[in-house]
Parts: sequence; C-alpha cells; structure tokens
Amino acid sequence: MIKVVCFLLLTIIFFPFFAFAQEGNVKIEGKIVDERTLEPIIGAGISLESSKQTGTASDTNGNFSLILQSLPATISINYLGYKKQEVDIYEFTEPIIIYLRENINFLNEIVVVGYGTQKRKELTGAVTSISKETLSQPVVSIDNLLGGAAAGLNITQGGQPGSTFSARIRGGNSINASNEPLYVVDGVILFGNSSTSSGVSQVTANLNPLAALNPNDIENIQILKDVSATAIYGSRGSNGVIIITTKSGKKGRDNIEYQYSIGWQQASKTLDLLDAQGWVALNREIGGAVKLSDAEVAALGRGTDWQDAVLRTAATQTHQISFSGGDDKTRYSFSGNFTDQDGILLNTDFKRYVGRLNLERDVLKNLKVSLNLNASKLNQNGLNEYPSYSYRNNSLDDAIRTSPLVSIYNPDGSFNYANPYETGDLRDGDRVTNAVSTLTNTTAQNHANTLLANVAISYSIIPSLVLKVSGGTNIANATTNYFAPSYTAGGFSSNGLASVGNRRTDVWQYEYTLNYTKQLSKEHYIDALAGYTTQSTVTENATASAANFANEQILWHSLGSGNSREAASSGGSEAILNSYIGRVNYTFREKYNLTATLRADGSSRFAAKHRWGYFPSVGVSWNISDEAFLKNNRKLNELKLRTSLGTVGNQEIGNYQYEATYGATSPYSFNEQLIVGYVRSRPENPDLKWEQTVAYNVGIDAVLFNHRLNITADAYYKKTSDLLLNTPTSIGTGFSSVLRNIGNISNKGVELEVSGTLIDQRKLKWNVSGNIAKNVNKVLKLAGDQENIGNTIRVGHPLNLQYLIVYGGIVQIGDDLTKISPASWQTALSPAFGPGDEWFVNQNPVSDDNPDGDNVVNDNDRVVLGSSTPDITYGFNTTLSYGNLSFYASFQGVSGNKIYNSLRQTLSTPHASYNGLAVLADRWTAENPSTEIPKARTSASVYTSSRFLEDGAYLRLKNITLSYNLPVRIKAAPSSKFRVFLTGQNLLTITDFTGYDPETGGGSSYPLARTISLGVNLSY
Amino acid sequence: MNRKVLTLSLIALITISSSVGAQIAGVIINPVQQEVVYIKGVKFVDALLEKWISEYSKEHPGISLSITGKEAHEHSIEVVPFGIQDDSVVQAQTTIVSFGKYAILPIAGRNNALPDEFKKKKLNEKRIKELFFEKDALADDYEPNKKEKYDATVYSGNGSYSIARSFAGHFGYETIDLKGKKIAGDDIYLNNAVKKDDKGVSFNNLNYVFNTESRKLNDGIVLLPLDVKKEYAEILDALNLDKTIDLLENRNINLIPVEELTFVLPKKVNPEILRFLEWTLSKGQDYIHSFGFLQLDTKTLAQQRKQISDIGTKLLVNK
Repeated sequence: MIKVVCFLLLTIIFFPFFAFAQEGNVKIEGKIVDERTLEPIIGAGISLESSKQTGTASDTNGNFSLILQSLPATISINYLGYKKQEVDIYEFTEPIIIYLRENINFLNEIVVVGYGTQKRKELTGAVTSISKETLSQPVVSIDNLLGGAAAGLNITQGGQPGSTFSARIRGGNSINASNEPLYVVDGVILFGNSSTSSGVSQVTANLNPLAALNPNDIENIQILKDVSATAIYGSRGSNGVIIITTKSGKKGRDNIEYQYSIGWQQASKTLDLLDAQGWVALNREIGGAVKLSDAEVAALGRGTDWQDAVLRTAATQTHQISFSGGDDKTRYSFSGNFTDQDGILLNTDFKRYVGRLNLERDVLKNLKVSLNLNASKLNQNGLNEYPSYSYRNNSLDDAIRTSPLVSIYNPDGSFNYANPYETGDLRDGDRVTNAVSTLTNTTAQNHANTLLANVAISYSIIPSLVLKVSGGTNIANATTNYFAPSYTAGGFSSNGLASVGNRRTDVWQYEYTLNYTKQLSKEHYIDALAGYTTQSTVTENATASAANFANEQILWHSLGSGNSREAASSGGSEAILNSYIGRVNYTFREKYNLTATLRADGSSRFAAKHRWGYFPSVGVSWNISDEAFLKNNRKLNELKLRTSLGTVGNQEIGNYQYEATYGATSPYSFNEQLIVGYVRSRPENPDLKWEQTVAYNVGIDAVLFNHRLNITADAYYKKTSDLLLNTPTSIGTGFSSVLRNIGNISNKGVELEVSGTLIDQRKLKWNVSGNIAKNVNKVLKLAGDQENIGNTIRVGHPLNLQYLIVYGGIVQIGDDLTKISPASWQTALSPAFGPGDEWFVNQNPVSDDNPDGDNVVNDNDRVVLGSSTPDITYGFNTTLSYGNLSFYASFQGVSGNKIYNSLRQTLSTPHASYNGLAVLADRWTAENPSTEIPKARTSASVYTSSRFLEDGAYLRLKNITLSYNLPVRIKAAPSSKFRVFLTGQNLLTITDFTGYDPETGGGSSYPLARTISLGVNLSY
Repeated sequence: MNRKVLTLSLIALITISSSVGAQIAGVIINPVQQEVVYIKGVKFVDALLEKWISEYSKEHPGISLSITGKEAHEHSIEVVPFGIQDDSVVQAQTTIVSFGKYAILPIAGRNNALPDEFKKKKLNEKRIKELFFEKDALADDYEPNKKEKYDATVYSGNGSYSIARSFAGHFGYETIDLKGKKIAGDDIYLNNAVKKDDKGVSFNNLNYVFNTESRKLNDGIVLLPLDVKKEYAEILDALNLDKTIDLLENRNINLIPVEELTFVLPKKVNPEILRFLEWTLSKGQDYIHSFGFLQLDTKTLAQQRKQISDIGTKLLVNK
C-alpha cells in the first residue's frame, strides 16, 4: 500500500514538471511569404541547422509545420530565387511568419544546360531562357511560346492545327541535311519533325512530335545557341539545341489545378476575290463561256463566295488538370490534358489527349530514382492535297478558284456537281467536282500514339560525386488514313482512292554519367562530367493504296475491295549513335570561368573509317564586375564577357547513305513471266562523313541600374564545311551524281536581348523585354566549279534565293517598243506584244558595249532578288500587373525576307474557267491605263517574275492575355484561387504581304488562324 | 493516523502542484463569477500590467482584471505599442489612450569585438543602417557587390509583437530589410542570441536591456556606443536604467527610437475599464520607471486623462 501511495505521490508531485517537459517536443507552425507581394511561397525548403532531423517544405498556402525535438533550434528556409533566411526559435507562441526576399540577380539564375544545370554567372556559352511570363501563357502549341521569345530563334508556324513548325537557330547550316534544332525533353532526345509521317503522299499535313507536349506542363525552355553550350550534343549540335523541362512535384501539400478554356478561331486574313459581276465582265472580255444575259448576271448579285464557304469560325477548347506535391522522400506531378481544336477549314481538326507523370523518390539518403513519362494520343484531320491538277493544289485552292457563278448546293441541299466553266483536269465528260464537297467528304487523317519516358537512378557515391544511370524511350506509332470518294478531287480520276500508311519509330536511349561537383577551396570550384550514351532508332513504315471502289461506304477500311491496287511499299531502318561525353566547368575566385567540352560520336550512318567524329569546344567567361575596378560601380551591377569556339556536327542525312543500295525495278516480262529485277541505285560511298560546323562566339551579359536592366549581346561566326552535296560523277560509274562532302556555308550575326523592370512596386509591376538578331547567311562553295544548285542556291548568296526575272511594269500607249525587250514567251503573242502587257528587264541587251547581248528577255535575265529567309528577326513582350489584374502581350517580327506569292500569281491570271483576285477588275484597258494590272488576254499566262515577289517582313501581335485573380475566398478551402483570363493569338499582323500570311508563305497552304479564348483556372 | 496524514498530504500536494502547473502554463483562473476586465497584453509590457493589476485589485477588491493571450474579448482593452502593430489594427478601434513610452537601444554580446570598434567610430545613423539593414537593391546608391562593412550577424525578432518593426521603421526601413537571422519568440531571447554569438548584434527594449531589479545592464550584454552628444554619451555609458530613462524622457535623441505604449479601447466601454485606465494614468504612473518604461510628458498625460474623463461623461449622459 505504501508503495502505491509513494508512486502516486511522486506522480502527482512531478506531473506538472513532466507536463512542462513535454513542451520540449514542440510542434511549430508558420508561413513563408514573399516579402514584396505577400504571396505565399510554395515548396520552400525548411531544414534544421545542425541537426539530423528531417526538414519539410511549405504547402500551397506557404504554410508549414515541424516537430522540433528541443528548443531553441535554428531553422533555415531556402527557395530558389530567394535569399536564404535563418530563424532561431526560442519559443513558439504564435505561427512564425517568415518573409523571403527575392534574389533579383539575373546572373544568379539557374540555367538548364545539356546533362546538367549551371548558374548563369558561371556560363561561358550563349543560352537564352524563355521567360516565366511567356511560358505561363495559355496556348495550345509550343511554337506559340517560342516565336519571338529569343534572339536568333526564328519560328515559322504552320496554320494546320497540330502541324509541324520550323525553327532555325542562327540561320541554316546545311543544304541537304536537316536545319532543325535538336529537341531534348526531360533528357530524352526527340527525333526530327517529319518522323510521324507514314508516307501517304496525299496527306501532306504532318503531326508535330512536339504536339505531344502540353505547353502547360513546361517548367522551362532553354535555347542553346553557341558551340560552348551545344558541343555536349556533338554531331547533333550544329543547329542549336532546345532543352525542354517539364514541371515536377515539390515538397509540400498536394496541389490541384484545373484549367478550362474555350475559344474561337478565324482566318487571320481572307483574299479579296472577284464577285460574279466582275468575273462575268472579265470572262466576256477574254471570250469565256458565260452565256448569261445582263439581267441574269445582275440577278446573281455577288454570286457564290467559295472562300467563305470553306473557311469557318472554328471552336477550340482545352481541359487540363494537374496534381502535384510531395513529402520528404517523394515528389510527384501528374497531369492530363485534352485539347479539341477545330480547324478554320472545313473537316480539319486536331485532338490531343496527353497524360504526364513526373515522379521522384529518395530511396536512400544517397539514392534517388526518378521517372518522367509523357503519353499522348494525337488525332489530326488535315487539308487534303490534290494529285497534280493544274492551278489547284488543294481544296482551298480549288474553292477560291471556282467561279462565283457556280453554286455550292443544289436547291435540294445536295452538293452541286455542275460547273459549266470547268474545262480542265476536274472535268470528265459531265462529271466535275465541288471544292466544298471534296473538303467535306475526303478523309486525310493522321493518328499517333506516343510515349516519351525516362527513368533515372542517381547515386551519390560521396556527396560531391554522383553516378547517374538513365534509360529513356521515345515511341511513336503513327497511322495515316486517306480516302477520296470518286466525286471528290482526290478520287476523281481513279474512281475513288484510298491509302493507308503506318510508321513505327522506337528510340531507346541509355546514359551513364558521373558528375563531380566540388567547391575545392574558397577560390576553386569544379563541375566535371564524364559519361557514355547510346541511342538506337528503329523505324518501320508501310503504305498501301487502292482505287476504283465499287462501294465507297467502307472508306479506307478495305483496300482489297478496290478494283485497281497499287503496289504496296514498305521500308525500315536502324541507326545507332554511341557517344562519349566529357565536360569540365571550372571557376576561379567566382570570376573566371572555363568550360571545356568534348564529345565523341560513333554513328552508324557513316562508313567505318569515318564512323567516329570528335567535337571539342572551349568557352571562357570573365565576371568583370567582380574585379576591384568595377566592383562598386553604382550603375553597372553585373558585367560578364564570354567567348567560345569549337566544332559541332550534323548527321541528319538519313540512314545508309554511305552504302551501295539496290532497288527493285517495276515488274517486266522475261520468258513470258512478269518478274522483278534489282538494280544498283546508289554506289558505295565510304568517304562520306559528318557536316562540320566550326563556330566562334563572343558575348556580353550586363545588369544595370540596380538590377532593373539586363542586356545580353552576342556576335558569332559559323562556318559549315564538308556539306553533303550531290556532285556529278563520271559516266563510267553508271551514275550521274554521288553524295560527297563538298561545300561550305557561313553564318555570321549579332544578337541583342534586353529586359527591363520599369515599375516594381508591391502592387504595380511593369516589365518589358525585347530581342533582335541579324544573321547573314552565305554559300561559300559548292562542288568543284559549280556555281548553283537549282535556282535557290548560288555561291556568294544566302540559301533559299529568289532568283527571278525583274518585272519592269506595264507597257503604256506611246511607249517606244523598240526600247523594250519582249520576253521570249511574248514574241508570238496574238495580238502582238504591246500596250497593256507586262514587260521585264533585259539584263543583257545588245549595245555598242555589249554586242553579244540579246534583245529578248529569257531565263538568262534572272537575277538574285533576295532570300525567303529573313535576315532580321525580333520580338518583344511586356507584362503589366496591378493587384489582381495582369496583362501580357508579345510581338514577333521578321525583316529582310522576300516571299514569292505564287497564289497571287495564279489568281492574277485571267481565266475563262477560274476565279481571280478582285484587283483584276482594275486591269489595263485603253481607257484605264493601269500601272498595276496588265490587260486581260485570251490565252496568256501570267509569268513568273519579280512582280509577285513581295516583302515578307511582318510584325505580329502573337499573344495577348488579360487575366484577373478573383478575390474570392472559400472558407472550406482558403487556399483556393480563381483566375479568369481572356487571351488572343495572332490578333494583329502588320505587313505589306498580300497573301494569306507571310509566315505560312506565298502558296495556298493552310491559312493562319487568329484565336480568341476565354478561360478559367482553379487551383487548390 | 498514518492514513489520515497521507490523505491530507495528498490533498495538499494535489492543490499545490495544480496551481504550480497552472502558473507554469500561464493560466489565470477567476474562481468566482464577477465582472472581469480583460487586457490583451504584449509580453514585454506584461510585468508592468501584472503589477498594475495587483495594486489596483488591492484598492478595488470587487474588480477582476485578467491579462489574456492573443485572444481578444469583446470588452477587452488591448495594449498596442506604437510602431509595432499594424496601423489597420489601430484604425479599426475607436479610442486610443497612451500610458507610457518604450525606448530601444542597440546591443551586443560581451565577447563581441564590435563595441570596442565602435568606441572609435561611434554608431551614427549611417553606420546603424550599414550595420543592421540590407542595402536596398532598388535604391539609387545601391552597390551590389560591396563587401559588408562589419563582420557581424544581426539578430531581430520575427514575432508580431517584436520591437523589430519599431526599430526598422524609425530608420525608414521594414523588418524584412533587417539583415541576418530572425528570432521566433519573445524579444528577451535576443539577449540570449547575442550572448551566444560573438559576432551577434541586436537591439532591445530598455526593460530587456536592463535588469529592472538591479537597474544595471543585464548580464552578458553590452550597449553599442552611439554617436550622441558627449553629455548624453556619459549618461548612457553609466549603464544605469534610471539615468537612461531620465535622459530619454527629457531629451529627444534621434538615434534612439522611442515610441508610445497605448491602450486601445473596445467599442463598448464600461465604467470599470475607465476607472482602471484613470488609475493607470495617475497612481499607475508610479510604477512605469521601475519596469523600464518612460513616462509621458505632463502635457500628453493630461490630454490622456481628459480623454478618459470625456468618455466617462459621455457614458453617463447616454445612460
């Protein structure tokens, strides 16, 4: 009993002290906020100093909680882009509000480079990061983010939803190999743009492999431009590299975000075509087949607007949802996206289903595994191309060329297939086609299922030495279905035509790297990388076609039922690239930086003796503002000088080019049997090797006026040698030409990027940034004495030349015809060449000084009139925010390019069957001596000349977004945020170009749409 | 007999231990139902409030006064040190009554070499800013790469009632502009921080800088020499709380932040509150100095009393 009482006594006496002592195990709570915006900081790391206890991270509200074993304790708060803050906790009486201050130092920015990251201050290469503001724009396609966003990066977008776009970094380096940059997505190298094409020739719309990425999933994009940055990609670095990193989870509470947007698209421009009255007048003048009376014509009014009939206001909608979060050991980010984008042309659209999972787990203290997975299903209904009809390339072309006197529908609502004015390819007896019917009833589908995945294991052997092993894959299974019924343009001549194609591409990539990062002493810092990578690419493709279907209801699903079957074709290839990579980044006293890189690539695309290529580079930079003589300069906060030189390559020439190949002949009769023979189609070419680009770069990074102004300027020179060109060979070989490494191209240019903070107050912020680049491209040498390849490549000039006869004007009454040389095709005109006709400049007239000249204009009078590649590209954007309201606008522009407007040429040809531009109404007559439009002739064509060469310069309002964070607070979910936004793409283009759009070119390719979308973003 | 002794002992011990425990946990119990005047306190003023409550309760035994933690009651009066609380808190209330002032002095640990360094070049406003505050990256004279002039770690309070805000505000900054490490907890721990860190510097209230019993500087800390007039410096160098209070009550020294302590009255004031406030502005003033605070000047004190009187009159009229 006494024992019990004693126990009770002791318990009671010491109870309060026990109770108090338990306070030693204290749960603390707090919140991390930005000191300027007072916005919560999500994912800030909270760690305990001098303790092995595990830390935590702030959640979506910036809140955190932590159980401390004892007090006092010191916690340290770290977040990228903010200054570290330490807090000594002596007692916990209220939530600890911790304010973090942004580290507004441009050069402290962390930049993703090949196989790692680097502080911008330590960079020696030219790398542009796409701004956070640009990346946060609600766009459907990644090219909407890239255009105008970086100096030296020229993006040319296509109008077809989901289609490929073209990117050039610092100009084109090659004639026969690809000029597209290398894309690296979460460490996996993406293959070229065209690889989802299965080879069905009637379907020219391509699915862009990058369309498999949801732009909203992208965390950052880096543009690697100079050789110091790209040499780590060796044989694939010559065209520059675009590194895309998707969003990953962060420690903290689970976050959910949902975004929905709905939008409307319209053609950014329509052409002004002749109406019924104008067309009849022209038709009568050139002896056309219109037999209507004046009263009947007047009753037609403007007639049928075929252009308007094929274009439409198209809807687009996007749903996307994402979940992210993490704890001490695991971080995850999972998202789903559905995009449904109708095209502005009938029966065209793009649908995308994308799922992405990024997972990271600290299995052990020094062992981390990660998974990046992006799976997509892409469906595209594209604009169908016509086989080879005169004047018309596709349904758009067909529609705008159809006479406005022809109706689209019959009175009963069915399609009208009666067009008395069609006298060309699309008439067979009484049968003609209808462009709207063709567009509506022809199927031109692309489907692709893609998987982009990368698994990596990182093991810290010692804290400074990390071994990383990764395996990645990029699998794309693409199919194409084409069916053109017999009453459509595509199936008209073959009584229905169906094609199917498929293409399977498997890319497997394995990488083994060892990375040593160490601050060796106060003065020496080293970051060394060594590794081995291997990438194999296997492709298989097959296409088959059939025509003349008795039953067209089964579409392309039964090629066997076609009465005429074309030979099926198939192909396959395998390529392997084995590489050793090495890079050393060394920094001395945080002022002097050196990057030395070497990549050795062994490619199966080249013969044994040229299989291995070595691509070295070295770059140095000097943080000159850290020197004593500049250190305390009040206006100049940071100044860095950079220079680099090195060699990179281009192996994108296709497979097996070095090997002799044999091809099957068409079946021929031998001994009364049809047999297939094989002939040598290409000679062996063991000397084939890489195209090599030697590049030099000097650059400067400056931060001025209290970090309010950032300037980056670069100048570069690149010389690509060993260009792969088909060169003439001796007749005795049995071949007319062979691919050889001959020829040089140079690119030199300057780039300037400027970004500034004009207003930076707690509520009001205004940032502006801009970039401009000039690139001078020149072909230095072709094979032997060869001066040109076709009309577009000539020594001493840039690629993509416009080599044309110079248009002089229109011969007017009274002009001295003896002083005008008619063109060779004008000498036999009837009535004879004279007033109202076009005239062209004779570059080689007979004169006393030039007795060998001639007095006729022909192809020899063509001269170089520019290039379709712009030599100046620029862009600028601005972000203005006030409280909850935010405004963003970005502009893109090019200058110095000439576009040949072939559509205008076609539509400027007066024709008895087809429609033309409205300006034809203002054609030359004796009473109307026009200086713009020649007179109408019965049978003459309008010839190719500089008359249709137009200035391709433009300035485009590419993106504009107005968003508002609703000041709504839900009690049950106080961290919820509601944002509404209104956004537009391609809303305004300032240009002198008269075609559909300077970006899509001068033909009748899919017009560019302008889009207005309304959306809502909810996050919890 | 033994059992009786044991039982009585148990009861006694339970009673003692419960009350000890309750006090340690900071709980004040009002055993009987009577009208309670709640005062929402601030930790560095709590000792003065407790003394006032004690003395006032002796004179007015029917009244129960209680210091609350962070919770405000409908009829509670709130101590608001000017310069610390957000202006919006003050503006939301109806009436403010000042009852004293507090002053802030810069301090360091005894083993810190900086105070000796500052004896030659005493802390003027420029040096205080250089020592305690981050350079403003957006200011015209910002020199981003300039090496820190002083090898010191600044400690400042992170809590909502820390005098860090007063100190920073006095020199034209915000608390985020204070360099170095933050302290979560009462500002008294700033003394601990500088004592532990030979490079630590901070600032604190007079009642935390000085021992209110011995009237001398608290153990382990020293004052950072300020660039003030010689006669003022001599007084400060005497390290005596009363002399320092006397100096600061009679001289306006720009380098030493001095702010008012106020009561913010609830919207509905009852006579008990007014009686207590009247007492604090009269008899209660006798205790101001002993707890390390400064008295209001005569004119201000008279104004505050009149204010209380006017509110009382209004209350009577409305009845």
